[in-house]
Amino acid sequence: MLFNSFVFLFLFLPITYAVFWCLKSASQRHIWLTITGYVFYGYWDPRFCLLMAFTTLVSYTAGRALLATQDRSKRKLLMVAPITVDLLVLAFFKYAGFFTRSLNDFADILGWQADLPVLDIILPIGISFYTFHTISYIVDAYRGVIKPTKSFWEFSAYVSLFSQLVAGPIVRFREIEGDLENVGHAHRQRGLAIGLSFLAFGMFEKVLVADSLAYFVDPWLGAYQNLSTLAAWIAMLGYTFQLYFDFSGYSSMAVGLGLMFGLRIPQNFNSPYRSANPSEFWRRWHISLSTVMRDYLYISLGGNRGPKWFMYRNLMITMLLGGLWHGANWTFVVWGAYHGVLLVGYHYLSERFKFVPTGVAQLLTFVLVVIGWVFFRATDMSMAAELLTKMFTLEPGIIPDGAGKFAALVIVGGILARWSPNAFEYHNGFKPTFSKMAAAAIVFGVALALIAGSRASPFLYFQF
Amino acid sequence: MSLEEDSKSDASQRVRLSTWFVLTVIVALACEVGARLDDLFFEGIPFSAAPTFEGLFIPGPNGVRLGRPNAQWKKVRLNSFGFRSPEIPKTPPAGCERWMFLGASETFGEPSVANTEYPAKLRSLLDLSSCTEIVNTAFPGLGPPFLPAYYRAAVAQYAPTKVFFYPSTHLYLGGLQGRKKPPTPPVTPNAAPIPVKPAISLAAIVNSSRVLERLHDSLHMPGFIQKRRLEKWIANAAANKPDDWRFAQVPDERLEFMLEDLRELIDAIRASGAEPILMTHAIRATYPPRAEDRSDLFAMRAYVPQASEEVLAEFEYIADDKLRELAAATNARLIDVARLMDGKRDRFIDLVHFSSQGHADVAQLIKNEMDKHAAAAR
Repeated sequence: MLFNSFVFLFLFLPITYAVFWCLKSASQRHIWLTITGYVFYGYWDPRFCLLMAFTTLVSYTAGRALLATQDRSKRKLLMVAPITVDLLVLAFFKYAGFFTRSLNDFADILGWQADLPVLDIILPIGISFYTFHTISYIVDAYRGVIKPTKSFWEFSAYVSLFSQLVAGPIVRFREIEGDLENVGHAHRQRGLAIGLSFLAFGMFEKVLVADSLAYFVDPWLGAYQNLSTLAAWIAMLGYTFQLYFDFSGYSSMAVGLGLMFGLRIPQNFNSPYRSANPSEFWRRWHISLSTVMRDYLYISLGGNRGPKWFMYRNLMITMLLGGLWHGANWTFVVWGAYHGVLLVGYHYLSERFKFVPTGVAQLLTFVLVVIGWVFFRATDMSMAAELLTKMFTLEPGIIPDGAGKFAALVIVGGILARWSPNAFEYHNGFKPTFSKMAAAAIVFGVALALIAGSRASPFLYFQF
Repeated sequence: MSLEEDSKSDASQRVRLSTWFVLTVIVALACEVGARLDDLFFEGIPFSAAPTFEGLFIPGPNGVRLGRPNAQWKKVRLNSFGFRSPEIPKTPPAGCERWMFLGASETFGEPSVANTEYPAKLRSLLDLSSCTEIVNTAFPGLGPPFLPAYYRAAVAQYAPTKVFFYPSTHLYLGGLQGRKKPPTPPVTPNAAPIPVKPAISLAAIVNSSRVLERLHDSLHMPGFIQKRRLEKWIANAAANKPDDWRFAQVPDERLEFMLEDLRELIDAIRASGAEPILMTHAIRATYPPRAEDRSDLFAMRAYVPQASEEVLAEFEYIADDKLRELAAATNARLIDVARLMDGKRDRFIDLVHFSSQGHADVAQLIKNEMDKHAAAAR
């Protein structure tokens, strides 16, 4: 079910909201959030609800066991075992086909006949996100950062919370624990206006900006072989803003929906295209993933401790795995490696280039990020190579129809991404005045018209 | 609670309700304005225009309707010759091919989405250097009985080199309008473009609400209600009809009508100097129908109430065989879409209309067949 669909907006959400606020106790609300989470998820394919239930059960049981024991070796086992289960599930559904295909290709290169059977497995939507939810819960419980919950329904509501279920943000239990415990005392009126405003802001980003850009981006990049150098740049800039507004829009909607139910979901995007260096970019882009990767992988590998090369190695590993997390394709691995190199390069050179004005640094960072998106968007390495060739050599080709409108949209996207306030800046000190609610109503109305006009598309991050 | 507090709370309740009411009105107005701005920016449809499906047509000879030059409706934009295609010169540039596609709604494609129909997908599949123009001349409801007259009146004059036709064979189980036709006089091509008529009053704008039209397209009655309605409609259609009104078995004379019309079309295409290429008609169901095919076959009875689901499925199966025989007998090239697509449920959105992936598959099939032919010719 998509947030930008009629069935969600006019059936699922009103029913979920009305029943939620009719229920009084926290446990009733936890149960209701769990049920609605499974309905939301099962609407796509009910079979995979079992998988989510299994992951929930394994992590909850491990959390309870961690609560009961202080024995170091037992605690370690209680952390490793459920994480292994979670990762095996993720590896099977997301990476099995990729690895067998890659092994076959590799054997081919060496002149061997591997012919391993390539499994065509359906990727359960949102599996990368809820797996990270459960893993972060287990690790935090092991480290003593959180006290595992005794309430199964509280934990299952956390895992299956529909607002963050399929495309994040990756909300760690510690960030939402307080709100989940106090959900029985949540204030309905307080959250409704700001929640609706966040929802409308997200609709603006997703339906009005990202989907409008997608109208041009998809056909242009679908026929990338024909593009001229200028057209290739316009298409990639379009994709750069489409991706940002698509995912940021989803995150804003998730925050708004959370607030409507008394749950504060943290910020996931902080105007990343304002960044003046790659390190800052990763503090502003998909913040929840960056934080998880930093806290559970980078720091576990040793982080900044030790000699410089040690830090560089940790950065590269983190970014490579971060790339692979996004999808089972070599393009994502290369994209991760590319960002790893950017981060290493930045840490190595930053002291020597302090004189570079901020504006220039921002522009350079932006261009480097756009180049990275080529790998992210490409369906295979040959597409990435051809697109990059088109962008950096004067290639003959065509500028498809609608270039003027597309360029205008790209400029609007650029202005919004760089200079307009993001969702959290806009809602800082929010007061539900009539003008703000009217603005939200206008956006909501226009977005509904576009959704009805078949222009609403699935969120790009659903595929991860 | 005191009386004063009561009245205060009543007042605040009234303010709250009025605020929600005003916000709802704003949402409704923004919906309509948004739909019109969207159409204006992406489709170039004037803000105040009231385009309709009927506005896509101008009357042609013998009850055949022709495309209105430059007409627009939803995501449909006809070119200056009245076809759902990019602009083309009257004759193809020297050394270039012009492939024109004839058919009904299956070929015309979804009106609320642009460039997903198989001719458009084929256009994007072809290499730029191939210099082949793809022109979609299909229109919804343009069944085979109309095709020869439509071809002569609207298509032949644009010098096609190849004409692909995808006949909606199932329509031969319907009312068969257009079969009894007098000889077709030559027709002067479409007159000057007629602009989309603008709405002139507020009432007209309300009646032609674009957002209501969009909602009508995107929201559907639940299946069980649609089924009940259709059952009632079929019962009404069958009322007071003789016993033999329903087809107890596949009606042979309808198959003969179809072959007759298509032979005439093949002759007309050849007479204009183009090569006819026949395509078989694919459906979502198999023959014999599977359990999951029943609802699609039943839904089609809205157009062919005389045929039961079994007769419809069998008719389609036999009709495709007849098309194959016709292609062999007339020495016309055949692209067997049915063989590739029949029964593939995810390639269709209903019994006969392709999904986006279905259109892509058909486009790829045509390209492969044409490439194969070109390679054999070399």
